[in-house]
Amino acid sequence: MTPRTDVKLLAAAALLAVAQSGAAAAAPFVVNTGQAPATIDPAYVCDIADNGYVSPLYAPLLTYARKSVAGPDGVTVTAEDSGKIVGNLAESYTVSKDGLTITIKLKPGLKFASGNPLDGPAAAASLNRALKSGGCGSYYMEAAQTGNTQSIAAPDAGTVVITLKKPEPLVVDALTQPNLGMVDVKTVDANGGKDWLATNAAGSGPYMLKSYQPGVRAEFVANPNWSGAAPLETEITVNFISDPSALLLQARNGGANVTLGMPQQALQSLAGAPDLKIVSVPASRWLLASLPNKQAPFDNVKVRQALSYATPYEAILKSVLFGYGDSFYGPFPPAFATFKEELGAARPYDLEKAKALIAESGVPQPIVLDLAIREGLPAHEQIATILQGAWKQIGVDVRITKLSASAFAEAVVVPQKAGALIRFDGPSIQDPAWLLNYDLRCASPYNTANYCSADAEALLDEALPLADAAKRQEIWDKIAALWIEDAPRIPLYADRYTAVLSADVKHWDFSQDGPFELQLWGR
Amino acid sequence: MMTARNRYGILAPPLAMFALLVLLTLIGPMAWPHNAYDMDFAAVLAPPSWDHPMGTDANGRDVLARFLDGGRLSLLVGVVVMVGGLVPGALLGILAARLGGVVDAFVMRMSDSIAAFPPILLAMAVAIGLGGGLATAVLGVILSTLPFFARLMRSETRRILAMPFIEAARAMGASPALIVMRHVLPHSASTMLVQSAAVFGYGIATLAGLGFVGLGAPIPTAEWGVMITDGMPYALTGQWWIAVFPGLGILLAVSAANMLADRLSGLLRGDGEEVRP
Repeated sequence: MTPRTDVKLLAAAALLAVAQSGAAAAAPFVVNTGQAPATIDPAYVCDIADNGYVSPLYAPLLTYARKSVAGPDGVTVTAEDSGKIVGNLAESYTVSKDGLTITIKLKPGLKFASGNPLDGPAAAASLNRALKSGGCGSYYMEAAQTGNTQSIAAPDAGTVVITLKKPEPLVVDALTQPNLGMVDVKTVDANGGKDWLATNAAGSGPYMLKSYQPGVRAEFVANPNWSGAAPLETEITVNFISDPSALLLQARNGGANVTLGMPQQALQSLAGAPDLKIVSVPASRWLLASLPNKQAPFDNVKVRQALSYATPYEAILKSVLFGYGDSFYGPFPPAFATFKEELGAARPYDLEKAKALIAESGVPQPIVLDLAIREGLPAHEQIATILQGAWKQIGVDVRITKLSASAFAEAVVVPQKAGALIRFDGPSIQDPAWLLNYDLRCASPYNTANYCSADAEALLDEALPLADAAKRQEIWDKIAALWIEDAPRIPLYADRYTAVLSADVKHWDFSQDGPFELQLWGR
Repeated sequence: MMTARNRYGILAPPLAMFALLVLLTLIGPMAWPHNAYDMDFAAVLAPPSWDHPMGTDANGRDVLARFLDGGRLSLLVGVVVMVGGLVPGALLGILAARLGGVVDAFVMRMSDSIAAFPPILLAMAVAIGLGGGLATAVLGVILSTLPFFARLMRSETRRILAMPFIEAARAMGASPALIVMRHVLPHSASTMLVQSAAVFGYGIATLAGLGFVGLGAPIPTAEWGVMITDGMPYALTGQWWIAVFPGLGILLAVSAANMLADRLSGLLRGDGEEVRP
């Protein structure tokens, strides 16, 4: 080999190295996640995780400020500050003294991803679309007070006015949610309406949808018409991978920058891996076992209390969650600002007390309880097995049924619950009123325990119009005390939302309404 | 020339494997101190040790105890599927061959219809349609085996009924039922035995497959297929023992059944017999 050949080879190698480093910098940011959305139409998205896929595409008028959260070394972790609402597409907002009129001033010069102007009329059309959808968009637009909206109008090009029939402070909170993100209604109508929007986007957020294969992959690219801070990554690929083993292998092999939805047991196996970081954020989500409060013998409070004392909370934390969770007992999880330790402390596992309560109840044994779980969730199956073994000791014979996703969704909203369910709960808006409106009200289909307490509902009605936080807190405490005594559900653990990050990820953010504030994630 | 002892000696390995499994699963649960359903949260995911030779699972249950308990169920299912498929399948085959015409056409088209579906899919459809659980899963597997037995029995019956000695029996006044009992069944027994051995293994493997997709035994019943499903998420995180031991159980049982079927088939065809000039 001549010196000249050496030089040529070295030059070629240098060029190749430069080209490879350029390719790496331009490579899309990859997110692998276990759960695919059923739809990406913001007005019809209902699942809290599905909200996350909508969030990068549709910017809401308002948003929550961010706060710093402890994270792994070298990673800046932020999360929403649910106590502080700020403008997003809106420059400002005001609420009238009587609480009936919300006036929102838009930032000037806003555009949808399509290039269409995002002005007052377009914003009003988007909110009206959500209101009239009949889906979760309607629920959010009215903050659970169905029929409370008088009108949504645009008196001029830069203003949207929402007029209510009676005051509902939570409408302002709801305006931060992806479900009420701005939809380019003109583009939707031109393309055939809601069926088209279920798999396409007509958005206003920091990203546009480059391609979407339901259940397989979504590719996001930065929206050139986005007026906010530039997203940290220009291109993001989200892969939907339902098999936890495949998620784990991909994470281990460096196949993803962020991995979501990995079982805690798999997470535990990654702890200490040099090329990976685990970020874990306390979340206002919790797994619960709801009991059929209207079905005998579970209409007997002693039986429900007995089950709550016969639940091995610590064993669940240890053998299922490997520490990625917290125990509590009550209607509010520890991540709620209104949570109080003295009212929400973990319930002790006390088998003798449980047996005594069953004896006091006077209910003959064995008691049969049908417990439904959603198929494809090994952790829920494991917890159901643990409950089956534990409750057998107090004479409760648990029959576990695995339901398909659709059958389980039906079981959740069926008016008369025939059995117990294991499912996640967690409001998009971390406000007790938002939670209790669907979780506590006797008539709510999402009251998965059919829990009816006239006293608790009266207290909730009393709290809703109050502006004084201290007075509201007093009422939340009274409701918590009633709930704890009635034991309508069994909170199995409070979740810690976890993600696995590759070593080059420097920024990550968590939102209660879905973890995908993608513009805040990056290398 | 190979002696009869030598010839039948080739059946010893599969039969010994069966005997071992049967003994283990029948006597084992009585002899082994751990219970298949007792949870020990102080010993979750413990690797194999003297106390737990096959380790423990995610709920601290002894895998050996579940292996023994689950094996009994899996082997029982193999027998039930074999008998449940053999008896009605053979009966339908005899009726089709003996009566011919519309009955023959009906039975064969029904068999074709059932055989048109991949067996595991048919079993899944039945299990889902009838509400899940072990009984419906077994019923689905049995249904999928019917064409195997019906077609084979029909073919055997037609072959035997065409033999000269059947003509002789008829001439002597033997009734059709007597001909079936005295001639068709004994002469077809060896062929059906081979098929039954194969179906035994198929039944275990298919039920394990159904258990793997969540359509088998209910929680918390120990069954090898369900145990593999439970253990799969742990295979990549180092707790290999939860899935591997029940997998070995299925491998042994199905291999023994298939080996027995192959060797019986070979014996009945006369493989290994010296051909005289």
